[in-house]
Amino acid sequence: MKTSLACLIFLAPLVAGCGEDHAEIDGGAVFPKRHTVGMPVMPADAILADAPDFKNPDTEDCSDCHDPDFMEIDTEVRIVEGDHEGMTPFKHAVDRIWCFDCHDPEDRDMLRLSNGDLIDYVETPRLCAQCHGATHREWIAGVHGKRTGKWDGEKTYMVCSSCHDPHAPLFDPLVPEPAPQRPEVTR
Amino acid sequence: MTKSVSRRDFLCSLGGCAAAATAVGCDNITHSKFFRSRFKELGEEELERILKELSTENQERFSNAEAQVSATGAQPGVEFGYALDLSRCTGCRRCVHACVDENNQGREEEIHWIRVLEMEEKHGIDFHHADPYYSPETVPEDGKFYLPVACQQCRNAPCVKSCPVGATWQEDDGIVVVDYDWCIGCRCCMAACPYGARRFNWAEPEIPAEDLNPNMHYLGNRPRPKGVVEKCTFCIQKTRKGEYPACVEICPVGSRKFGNMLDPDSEIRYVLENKKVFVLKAELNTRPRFYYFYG
Repeated sequence: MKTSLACLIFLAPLVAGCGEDHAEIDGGAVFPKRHTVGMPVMPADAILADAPDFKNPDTEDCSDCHDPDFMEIDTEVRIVEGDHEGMTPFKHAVDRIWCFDCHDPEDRDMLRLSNGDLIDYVETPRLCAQCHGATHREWIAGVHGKRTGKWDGEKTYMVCSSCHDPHAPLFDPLVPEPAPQRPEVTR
Repeated sequence: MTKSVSRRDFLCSLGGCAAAATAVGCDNITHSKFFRSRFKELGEEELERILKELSTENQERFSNAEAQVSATGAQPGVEFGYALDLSRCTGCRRCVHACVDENNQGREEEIHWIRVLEMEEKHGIDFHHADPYYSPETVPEDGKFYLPVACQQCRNAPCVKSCPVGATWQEDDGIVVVDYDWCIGCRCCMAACPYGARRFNWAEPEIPAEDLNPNMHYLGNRPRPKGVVEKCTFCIQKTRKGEYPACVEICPVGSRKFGNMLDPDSEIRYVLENKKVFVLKAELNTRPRFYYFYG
């Protein structure tokens, strides 16, 4: 009897709802009203920044070497080790991802999403969002990453690879700009 | 019967004589500067004339034909807000120097509107042990974090309250501004500011002619005279035209967020609604428009 009473007390709020004000939007999804509802939306006039080209600087395209006619495609999953010509040593979740999680084995000049769609190198946000969903959402909202231009109008969105090297995404340390002089020096 | 002269009337006429004596022999520009009304009471024509004079003055001083001083007003329905992500700031000081380039601060005098404080991770935000003079080879350093401080654009600003002549006030879009031609250089505002955000021109600010930013605002980055106080204006000459401030545009890690707090779709609103933001020295009830958060 005591146990069932205790259960009733604990379960009551769940049955009655949490007591917060809720808003119902299309499709019946329910969100608390005090939070921004749903995914942030990218404005139609958003400009995506040019991303640096991580293709080999000495050759035109990746496919110049990785041509399926001349070089065999080895799709056996392995840990990426050693230096690749013209590429930063690979330091991106090394034990979990490898080349063909992002690159297309057949067409090296394209990136490949997990659903098989091929996308261009400048469309990195779509690719990166597959793992970094929360970061991608904040990037659309303008919290992660940087925007330049106008706060009330046309702005340029830095894309993932504008700032991060996809093969080694952590930022390198920076040399700081000069410190201010101490007052006893300037006066 | 002799007409009695009150002390007040006597002092007033004495002051008038002194002012007139000072103005005699001055050229027209100095004369008009000396006897003009305060900024907010200027008529349209008078303001236009003053802006023209200032533009010409700076064009000649810096041999830069593009130098223009404007006085663009606040946009209706806009209240600016700023947020800074402390988890991203690396203390590289790019913002400090971009600010100097944008806002025509005195180079010799090393006037910086932004001060980046280096703090110990284990102590948290602790102003007493903060170091603004850090200069390691590379940043960020292990065990340290960085807290940039500039004017917090308070809603309840102690500097505005302390100014004896009303030379500093809050505009409709929230920017606290200084009229350099009205400031008497008493530095009461500097003593009142709990953030140390205001700077004083001890000497005539030196700006190399080629470094002048010709896009200037009367209440912002026009070259200041000696003996007046200045501070961050959210780059009023840029933001009133809809652009981002210089520090937002330079930040290499994207830690700086700026926008209109009244616009529900702005990134600043997203930060305020979805992140746990805080302000510096909240206990003083200055109610800053500058927020900090950990992204």
